[in-house]
Amino acid sequence: MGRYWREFLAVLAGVTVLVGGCAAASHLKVLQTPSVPSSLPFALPSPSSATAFQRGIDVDFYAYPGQDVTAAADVTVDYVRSLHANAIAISFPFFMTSRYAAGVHAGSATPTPDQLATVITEAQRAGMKVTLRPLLDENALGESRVHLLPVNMPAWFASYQKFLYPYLVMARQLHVSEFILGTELTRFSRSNQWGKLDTATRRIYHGQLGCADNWNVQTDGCGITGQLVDAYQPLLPPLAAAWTSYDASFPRGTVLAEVGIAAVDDAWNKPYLHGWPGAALDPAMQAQWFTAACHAATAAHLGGVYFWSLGLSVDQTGPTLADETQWAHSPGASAISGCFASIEESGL
Amino acid sequence: MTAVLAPSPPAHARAAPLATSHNIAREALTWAPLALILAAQALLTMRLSTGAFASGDEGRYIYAGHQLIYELWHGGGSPYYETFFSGAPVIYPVLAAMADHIGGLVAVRLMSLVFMMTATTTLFLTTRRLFGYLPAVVASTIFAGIGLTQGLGALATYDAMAIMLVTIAAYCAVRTGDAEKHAAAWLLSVPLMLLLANATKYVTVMFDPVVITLAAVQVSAAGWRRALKRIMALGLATSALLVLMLFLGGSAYLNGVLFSTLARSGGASPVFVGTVLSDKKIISESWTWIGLPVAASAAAVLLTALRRSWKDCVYSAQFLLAGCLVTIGNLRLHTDESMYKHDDLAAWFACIGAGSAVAVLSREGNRFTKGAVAIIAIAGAVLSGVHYSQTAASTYQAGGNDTTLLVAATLRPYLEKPNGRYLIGGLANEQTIYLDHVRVPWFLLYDDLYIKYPIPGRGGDSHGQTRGFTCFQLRPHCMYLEGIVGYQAAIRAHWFALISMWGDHNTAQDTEIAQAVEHTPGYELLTKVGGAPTWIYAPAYKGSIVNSPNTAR
Repeated sequence: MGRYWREFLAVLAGVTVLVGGCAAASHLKVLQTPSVPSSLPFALPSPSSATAFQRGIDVDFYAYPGQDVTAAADVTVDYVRSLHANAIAISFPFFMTSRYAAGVHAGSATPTPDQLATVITEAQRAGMKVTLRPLLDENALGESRVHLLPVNMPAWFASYQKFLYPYLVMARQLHVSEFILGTELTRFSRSNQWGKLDTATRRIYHGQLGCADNWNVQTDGCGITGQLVDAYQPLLPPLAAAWTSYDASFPRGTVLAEVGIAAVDDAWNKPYLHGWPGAALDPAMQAQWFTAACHAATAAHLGGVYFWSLGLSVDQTGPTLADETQWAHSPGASAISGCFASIEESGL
Repeated sequence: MTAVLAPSPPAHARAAPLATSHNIAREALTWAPLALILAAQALLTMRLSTGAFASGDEGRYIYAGHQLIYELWHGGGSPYYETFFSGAPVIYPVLAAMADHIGGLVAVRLMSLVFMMTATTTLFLTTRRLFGYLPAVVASTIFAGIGLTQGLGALATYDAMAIMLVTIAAYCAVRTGDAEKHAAAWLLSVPLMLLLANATKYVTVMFDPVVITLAAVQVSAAGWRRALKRIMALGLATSALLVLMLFLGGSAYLNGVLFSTLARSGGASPVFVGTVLSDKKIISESWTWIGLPVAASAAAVLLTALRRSWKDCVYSAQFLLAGCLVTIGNLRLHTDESMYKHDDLAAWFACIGAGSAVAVLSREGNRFTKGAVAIIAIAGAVLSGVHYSQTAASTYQAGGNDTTLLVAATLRPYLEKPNGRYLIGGLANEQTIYLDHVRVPWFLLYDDLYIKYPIPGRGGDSHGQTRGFTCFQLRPHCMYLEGIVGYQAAIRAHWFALISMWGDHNTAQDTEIAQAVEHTPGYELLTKVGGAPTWIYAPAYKGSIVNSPNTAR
């Protein structure tokens, strides 16, 4: 055999070994690329879902070290979906060191834009309208945020604008439907500083801007027209009639951004109160409150109702003596699910 | 002054004695550094590849290859990839689809890794022939360490194959000296390899003059007239082959070459979505990616100039110029679109220049000085690799945000409707189909850039097999509609079962498509996953059973 044939055969053998080796290596587990996750079951969307009544759930997202946000988002969104909800509002905290502090800041419990994006993407994937709500944490204030009046308004707004920036960029990138610029900041919701913040915000984020008032609607709160209500006004039984009357005071299309109550006796006296030391649990009362609020909202042609709240967690729990406002997997959840299912069936 | 870089007489390798049983071990040992470099290159490359799902380009080329193979066996009209791909679709995409059939995306990427390792090997061999052993080790270490080299080795696109072919052509070119045993055969190989490289990826034609000049320099000792003759002969041969191939390929190929490469518009183009960049930014990016070998090449030019070795200076300048070619090309276009892919080929030549700098420095002085130069050069090359390897992820195109996978998972059940037509955003349509492993043939898959909508009742078909007038406005003699009018007509006729603006194109045409969908009854918003709306024409899915083995959650 000539030299050239030997060289040719050697090259051929080399190429064969190379191709065979690569083919074999390509099946090694360690080299595999990520695969597409499993899909949600095939389902046809309901007509005109874009303008549908917002059957919403509030998710209160406090971050903590080691949190598996992806898993928590997966479980939480799945649970929200099981309640026949079509919308989700994600609240996330920001902080002041005291009520006299010049400005606001992100804390260790403030989720990063990336963490929020994980939850948003999961919710969008489930076909839900997503709203983002930065919420001033009250712990360091020593009072409710509705009583806060910043000592240095320009500095407060400057720090708030700085805090919001990465979240607005993320919201724009993910096409988040709505961003609630101010929530329950009642004492200064008419400040002229809001106008500057709105202008700066609209340069970054092009979705709907909202302002959530407490109890009642104020016109032009936060300098914008998209008003929502955190519906914590005390109401006396019979609850259905009381809710109908309460909702009638709102303009058509108003969205109840928070409807929540502790699952304890007589909580309708103070639905805004979270801690009820020594009170007996009464999940049935919570369920009645939710049912009345939900049906009254549709009857009053409101834009939607969001129930407060689920934490972002892999464990969704019902009311306990430690936290009476929880409602997952309880009669309160059944009430929400039942009402939302009936609204969904009616095609509202 | 004696020329230290000029290629004649033949350098180190040619002077080496024939291998005998006595020096086999020593010979094997001389290959050990290259083996080490290749092993490091493989590891650094695979570090990028594992954990990264298919990029848009990878999905597109592999999908296209499968479609072309199907077309070859079953006919059914042509997707005309040749009109817009930046390389001949019948070469790399088909090869990639075959590899994909055997071992999926991993196999296709391994193929790229082999191509890039071959390029490193040819760099070693070329530099060794030109400047000796140490420059070869330094040059190939620098090249293997460059982030772009690792990125392209982990990416299933035509770039790795094209780079390999150009480098083989360059290696053939340096073997065309008069002292070579089979110089004529090597010389003949040059235009053939260049043809293959240019056909694989058209933009490599930019380096043809470099390779041809390299071949000419091999005979420069016999006079510049002879070198000039060689330039003319190789230039004509290569051009003739390219023209012949273009002629055989037909007008579709000519359009493709013009559209994707030669008459490519700059950063303002809606198709090439890169933004218009300043010259400073383009130079800065190039510097970040391949600055060191280019700087070392420049140092070689400077060193030879200082020594008044003008012949060597010209020789080094050739590698410096090749190292800057891509940057210059992108400065003309005012965009960095694809620059990170092409810059690696420029870096390959610049690395030879870097090797030449080492050759200049190590050929003078005593043993100690030479040893110091060797240690410093190798240490520098390794440090360069450490530095550039850290930048590899920033230019690596595949993988990224999990949103892409979520979108693919969300859309999958809706992409399995038999004979359903789908419009998916321009930068993601084939990628989504490839990731989902759903069987959607090209004539049922549309993007937001081009449509040829057959007007109902006028004899046209979605395969485009029936020839007829294609118009941008609805007129009596038109069989097909193109442009936004085509999209609007198709949407109004519920031609698409699913329309997704996923793909992040954000062109003016996208806005008009979205408006058309929103104003057409029957389309319902399915999801906004990924921040882009996806609609389905619900009646098209009613009653259809969409089975997917992957839909169970």
